[in-house]
Amino acid sequence: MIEAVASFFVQHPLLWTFVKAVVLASFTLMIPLAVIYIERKVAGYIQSRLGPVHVGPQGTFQTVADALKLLLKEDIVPTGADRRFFYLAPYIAFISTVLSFMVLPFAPGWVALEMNVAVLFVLGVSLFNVVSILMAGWSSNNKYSLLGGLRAVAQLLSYEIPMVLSVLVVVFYTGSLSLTEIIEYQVKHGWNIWHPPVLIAALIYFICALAEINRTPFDLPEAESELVSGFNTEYSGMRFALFFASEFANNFFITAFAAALFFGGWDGPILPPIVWMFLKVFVMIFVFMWVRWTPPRLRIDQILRFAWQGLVPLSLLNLLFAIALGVR
Amino acid sequence: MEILSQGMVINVGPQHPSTHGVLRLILALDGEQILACEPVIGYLHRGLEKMMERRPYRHNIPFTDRLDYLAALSNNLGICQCIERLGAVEVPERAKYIRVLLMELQRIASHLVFLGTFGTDLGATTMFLYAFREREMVLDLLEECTGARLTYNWVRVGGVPDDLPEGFGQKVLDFIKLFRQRIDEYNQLLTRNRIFRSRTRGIGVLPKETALAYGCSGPVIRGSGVPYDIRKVALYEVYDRVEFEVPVFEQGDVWARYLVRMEEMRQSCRIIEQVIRDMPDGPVLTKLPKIFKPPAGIAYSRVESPRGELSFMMVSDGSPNPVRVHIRAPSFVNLSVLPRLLEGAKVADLVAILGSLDIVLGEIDR
Amino acid sequence: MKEAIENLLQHFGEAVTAWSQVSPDEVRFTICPDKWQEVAQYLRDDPQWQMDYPADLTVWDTGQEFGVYLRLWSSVYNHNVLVLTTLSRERPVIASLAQLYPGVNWHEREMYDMYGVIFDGHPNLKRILLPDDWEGFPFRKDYVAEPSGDPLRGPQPVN
Repeated sequence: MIEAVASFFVQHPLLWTFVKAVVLASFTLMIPLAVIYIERKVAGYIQSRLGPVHVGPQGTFQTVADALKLLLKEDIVPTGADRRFFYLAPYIAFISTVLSFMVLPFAPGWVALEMNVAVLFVLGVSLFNVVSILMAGWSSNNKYSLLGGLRAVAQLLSYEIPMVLSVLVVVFYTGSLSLTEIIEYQVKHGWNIWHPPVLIAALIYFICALAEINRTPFDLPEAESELVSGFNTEYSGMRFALFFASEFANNFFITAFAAALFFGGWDGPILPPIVWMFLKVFVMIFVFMWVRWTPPRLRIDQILRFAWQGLVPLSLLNLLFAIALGVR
Repeated sequence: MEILSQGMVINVGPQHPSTHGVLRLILALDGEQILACEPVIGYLHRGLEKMMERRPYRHNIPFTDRLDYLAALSNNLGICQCIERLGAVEVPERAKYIRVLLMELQRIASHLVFLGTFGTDLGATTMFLYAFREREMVLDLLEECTGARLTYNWVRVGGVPDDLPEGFGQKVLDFIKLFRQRIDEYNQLLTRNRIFRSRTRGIGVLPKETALAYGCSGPVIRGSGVPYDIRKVALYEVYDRVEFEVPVFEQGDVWARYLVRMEEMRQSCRIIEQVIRDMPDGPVLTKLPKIFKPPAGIAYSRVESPRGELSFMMVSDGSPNPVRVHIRAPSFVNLSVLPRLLEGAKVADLVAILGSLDIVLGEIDR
Repeated sequence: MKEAIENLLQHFGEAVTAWSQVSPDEVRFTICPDKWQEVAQYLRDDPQWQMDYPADLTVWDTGQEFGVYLRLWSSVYNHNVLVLTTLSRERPVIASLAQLYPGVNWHEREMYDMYGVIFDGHPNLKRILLPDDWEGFPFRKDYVAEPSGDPLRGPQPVN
């Protein structure tokens, strides 16, 4: 029976890709449930309290309950909002995340869409996120949302550049833009992180990752105490849930991307590769959360200054450093 | 002061997440720059001063809990001191020591609220939970003594209603020992954090002459270099017998005001230890006649509440009810300097500056 | 302090109707309302007084007239001065001290709001605590209000 199904899909590769896309889309919707639960528990323990405990064993069904609640909420569209963009924005954010997951190798052979320019594709698709935030901020017909949206776009664009430059260092080392090849290179030659320029690139990448997913200390676009909720003030119910889900799925993706580029992806002894992948991702997510709940947030001009006067020169120098050292 | 009609006029409405009460700010913005600001108050006005004119003197003490509700005991003390001055009522020694002990515990509790909300305004939400964890301990102590957690009503004309419970002194000392370590933790979390410093240094500078001319008080003026602390200036209750320092910083910015409050918490610990060690035995309340009619005249009292100089003024004409009770609230005067502080500031600094003034709308609006 | 008081009494003569030294660092003066601004200016600028800190300004209603109370403190000498005066009900006008002491700006607005005392020369004399369209001056002793039946407007003055 399995052979019949398999040969059917081999004859219809487009259909197979579609099935993989559906699986990944549901993954994109499900993984935030786990990530949000972990976030709330970690936040609780850092803040000397418990986090969710009641719903489900140890509170594990709390996010499911919250998602259900959001589903059942009234869908409010503000008067004077630009309807097309207001409706479109959450979906574009979601689609960009799903597309990024399509090229990520979870395990040897487990890639939805094998691309030999996967890195370039991911960096390009992440710009959809920026567009969706701008759409959301603009179309809400709300001064605070507009301020939040503009700040977010400024921040995201400024931090794309050092991120691209750090990823470029890895590409230079492995000589390939394909994620599968990068991981296989690391299986043969050891993880990329052991090279000094790649280490610096990884640190720069982490800072940019924090800024890309709007996490403290770079979360001014969603700063509650100033702009209520920034660009997603006017969103309620399922639309808000989609934004929220794509933000946390992006969280997962960015760390998985870092794992693939710097830490060898699914490489590791004894345990099955998929477990290694998830392990690396969750360790990095834990570090992100740790950083989120400790320092205060930066002001927008400080954020931009740090990007342009700090990270961009640093990543350029790092790239030169990598080129000077040459490939082994 | 007029609002310029250029640029965007934004309303930071009576309800907003960085809530310090129901305060409305009308801002004229030019991009991220604030051109002018007009605070609109009165959303919490209850006419307390007029209500106090209809009641006998001692019936007005519970009203004062609702003024600065984060430091209710200071308000109670203020009004009782004023009535005591009006009627020349003596307060027994032990009562004075108990009053100072409660005041300093209250100062710690109030500054913890400031710490928590200030951290949250700037994005460090964790600070809020740590501060309130300690505040819960203080509130438990105060509840054991007074029976209430927020509106204590535990100072009477002529002393305090009842003595401290058994073993209270030791519990307070245990708390102080724990609290000193916690203050070091807070310094680790916020004071030594580079991001926190870059958000608060050089922001919202209040020059010394402006602070004096506006009548600012409390940590606001002590952060601008003026060593004005009523506990040292007027030496009321037992503050002349207790050794402590008044922290004064010169910079006048948000950072200085924050440091003043942090250091004040440490000094409060010092005062509490000395008070518990030196407390004499004796009565705690002077008995007054049932119908209390102070002689005609005007009297005023000043108290150093955690927010600044809280002053009560009473006019008496010999009848059981006062002719006038006037409450000079520190936050009222501190808030009037906000438009000056915001000139030329950025919108993102508004929250930090407003948080550093530490206002409570209950006493602004009365 | 004694010398400073004598100099002030000499300077203002008849305008000071009564004075008393309540304690070594507190003096109370009762003056005529038309010298209000001059006395405040003198107290601020005179090198022996240097009252640079406006602590409080308020008004009260005795039933027949209004009393005005100004409390000042000096950060240089640490002494307090209370300046008192009375205003008539028919014409409750007095000079504003907002240019001298910015700190009394909001206090004067509140007294206008509650008592209807006009502060001559105040830059922005409008209501501060009550809504801008409120009628009547609530803290006056002859203020009578009746419930209006409208929860948003509250009690309204009768006269």
